[in-house]
Amino acid sequence: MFAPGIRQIAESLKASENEVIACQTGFVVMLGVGPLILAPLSETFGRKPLYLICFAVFTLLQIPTALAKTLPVLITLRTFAGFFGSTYEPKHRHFRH
Amino acid sequence: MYQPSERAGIFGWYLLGPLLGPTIGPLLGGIILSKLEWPWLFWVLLIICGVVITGAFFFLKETYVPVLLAQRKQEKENTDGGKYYFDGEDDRPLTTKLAQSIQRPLRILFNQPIVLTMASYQALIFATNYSLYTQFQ
Repeated sequence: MFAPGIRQIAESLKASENEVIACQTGFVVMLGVGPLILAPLSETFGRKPLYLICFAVFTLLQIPTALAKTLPVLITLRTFAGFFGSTYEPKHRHFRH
Repeated sequence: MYQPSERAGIFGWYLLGPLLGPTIGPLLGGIILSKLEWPWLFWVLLIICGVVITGAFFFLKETYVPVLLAQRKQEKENTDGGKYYFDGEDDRPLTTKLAQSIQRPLRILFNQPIVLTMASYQALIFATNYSLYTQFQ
């Protein structure tokens, strides 16, 4: 959903499109790093609490992201969103290929 | 969670999500952007996530066996005050458990060449995939 908005975000935040792509980079890198830390936690606390907490944080992070006024803020928020959004991600990569 | 005979069908439904997601996402994004400003991408995401997390809160069940057994044990101990044990119970302190479980994936990643190879291969595919999503607009 983010990709088609890159041009519009770049115009509204007065940044180049390549700089806006850094949001996507941060997000995707954290999708990779996140499970390395979050998945082991589910072995101690259980699957459900971890899913719910991470997904709640991911959901709430969308509010400041929608209100972001500068690019560094947007990149930071998207990076955190990637980290917490990664809980539902690992299985996806398992079965996909 | 499911019997082996049920799995094929369940996987089919499950796979619809990750396969359709990257297809519907940009489409939905495009529709939103044709009518509204970019912050609405995240407002719509917030609404969708809000609905999903409400459903998950009520309908998602804990599936990890040691945690289920620990909950059961706690429940029994609370009702009759006795002491219960279960097979494979891990009574080490929380910090030891966490330290071990966080180290485990890293240790496997760097000690097992096959894991490192496959992980690098997956990383390459993943990176290519997302580069395509980002570039085709």
